Amino acid sequence: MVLFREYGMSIFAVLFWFKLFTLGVVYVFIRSYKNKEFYYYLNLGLTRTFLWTSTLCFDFSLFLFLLSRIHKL
Amino acid sequence: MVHTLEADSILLEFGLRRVLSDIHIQCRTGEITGLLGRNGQGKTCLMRILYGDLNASSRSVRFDDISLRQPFRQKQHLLFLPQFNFIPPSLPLQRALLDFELEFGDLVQRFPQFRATHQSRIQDLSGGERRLINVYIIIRSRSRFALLDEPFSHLMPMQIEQIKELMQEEKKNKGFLITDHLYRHIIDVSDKFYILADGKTHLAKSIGDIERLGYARL
Repeated sequence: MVLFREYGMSIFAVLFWFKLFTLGVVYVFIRSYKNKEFYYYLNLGLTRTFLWTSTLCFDFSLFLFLLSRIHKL
Repeated sequence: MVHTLEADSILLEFGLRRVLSDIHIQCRTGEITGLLGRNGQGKTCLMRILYGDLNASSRSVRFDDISLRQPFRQKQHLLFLPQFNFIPPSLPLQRALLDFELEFGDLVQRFPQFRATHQSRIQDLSGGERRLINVYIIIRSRSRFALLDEPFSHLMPMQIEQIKELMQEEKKNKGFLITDHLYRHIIDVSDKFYILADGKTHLAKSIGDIERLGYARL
């Protein structure tokens, strides 16, 4: 909110790329430290592609939704 | 009806090192198939190729003569117990059982030591109990085949005997492919067993093949 008041819409690009960077960090971290637990979901018939696509899409959509809500305030 | 899980034409190389090259393995429902081999011979790799989790240069994995590219997508066909614990530690025990359509009462009936763990999370269990739950879930869950990679590791002798009994009961409903370095248990529980040596599978004709192929001194 403060960032939007201070910098206007130009901050959007910075936040967008920062969010993508943090998603990348999350991806690398989970692949390294939670790799064994993927077998739990594989044994339930859920593929790695499905898990990554659904969680990253949800996370990014939530980010965009919250940004749009803040912009309207 | 007897179902078959069969694999051949597998070629797996890591750089210049050829790990698997001349493989033929067949499992059937109603049977326990053992797989023995020295360290680094590719037992785990072979299981992961069967499961579809590891890509090989070439492979043919068939269920009832129908080829499947990614068998793990169909849990009714195949489940895989890796050599490590795979259940997320923060998950409540009961949740893990429910996810695999198993009942807590059945677990307690067979393993009474879990009676007081109704509300426990996986991380609250001891190392041995955790491994036992991982093994139990894969053996008991509904599927035609189960691949078990080192199911006896970290288990005490009495629990190993209980797991062997459980497998003998469950093999009425499914087929098992099992590997472990506790080879006497593997020989004891298996209807037939393969020895993996120099990238090839050898169907053991007698217990003497274990020594002949350089796996163990009897």
